[in-house]
Amino acid sequence: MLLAPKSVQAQEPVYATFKDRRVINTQSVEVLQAKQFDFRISHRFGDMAGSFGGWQNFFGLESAADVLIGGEYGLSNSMTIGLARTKGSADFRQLINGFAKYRVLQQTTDNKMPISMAIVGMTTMSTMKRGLDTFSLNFMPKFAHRFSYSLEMHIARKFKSFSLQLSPTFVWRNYVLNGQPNALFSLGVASRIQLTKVMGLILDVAVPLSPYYLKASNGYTVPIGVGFEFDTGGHIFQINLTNSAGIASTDYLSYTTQNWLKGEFRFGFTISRLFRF
Amino acid sequence: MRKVMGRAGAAFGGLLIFNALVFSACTADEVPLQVVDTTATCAVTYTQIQPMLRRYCEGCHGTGFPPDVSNYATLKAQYLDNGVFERRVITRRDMPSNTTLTAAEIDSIICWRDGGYPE
Repeated sequence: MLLAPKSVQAQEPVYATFKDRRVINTQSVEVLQAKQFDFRISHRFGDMAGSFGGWQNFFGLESAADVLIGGEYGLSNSMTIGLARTKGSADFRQLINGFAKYRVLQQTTDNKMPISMAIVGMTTMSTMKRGLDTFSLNFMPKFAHRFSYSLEMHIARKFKSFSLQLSPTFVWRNYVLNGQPNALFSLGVASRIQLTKVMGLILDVAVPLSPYYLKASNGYTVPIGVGFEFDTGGHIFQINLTNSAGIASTDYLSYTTQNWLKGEFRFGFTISRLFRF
Repeated sequence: MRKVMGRAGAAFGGLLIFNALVFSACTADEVPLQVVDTTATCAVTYTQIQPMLRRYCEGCHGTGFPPDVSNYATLKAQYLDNGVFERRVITRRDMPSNTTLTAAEIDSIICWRDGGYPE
């Protein structure tokens, strides 16, 4: 390696901009290697404080805001597909989430490519039983009303032990409450700071760029998450605090109404285990 | 750079096609506007209350957690006839324990009680 020409060394890709394929809820620019399988479990507990939290449900630990169980597979070194079931945090429950993710660009050490970029297309279907209330979302007059979609672009750069990611995202919901927009644009900002060899601090914010969502009286809030990530070798273990209840992007971007300032944030964790087939 | 842009374009196009295939049924619908008819007499039935019971009560008092409020007969025998429902939900309002009912929801429950909790 010492004898290798400098130009070859210099074009090394930058690895591990993020350790995991997710930051907290947002997808990261990372993809799986070919034939790698990632088994994932994410859990978000109930509100820690506020009117639904506190001692009555042991600071949220006795309830589950959302639970994800799923798997992801690397079709190639750039393409990852995934399927996960989430409980769903809002009116649409029992969600099946399928996605395809493609890494378009990878940052190189010589800065000829200064950024990494990945795009994600995701489809979510609610498999819940139809509700009886005509004025609720879960009444779902048509089968198509069970679906929502997201198209996400993630652009990131790693600066030594600090990584920064921007995630412009478009969410489309087939069925919305009266007066709500079907389309939602949001801009995510995520970051990771390597604190020790195995531990990193992660931050994840998604600002909805829609007048409807930004109008305070409509009750929606900006999902903000902060957490620690531990790389134990084959596992990534992550603990976090976030105000969003949902986990899937179509869910937490569309339905976050909990407010950090009212104590409506929750403890959550994610376990990711890699297998090679 | 052109190659990179080409790859980005192809990938983006590919994902759009992927989404379009999976999405084949894309709609832009919304829940109908709820118009309250104030001239109507108060006549709320169990069927109308049921979505609320499902949303707020069945998590703890549903199937597998007796007494089960998803069943009208059990609900009536265990909660309605003995006044427990009225006391907890209308008078004391300490149930549901994890949320506060809106004034409109309370009104419809009161209306249901006034009519004798019809099914």
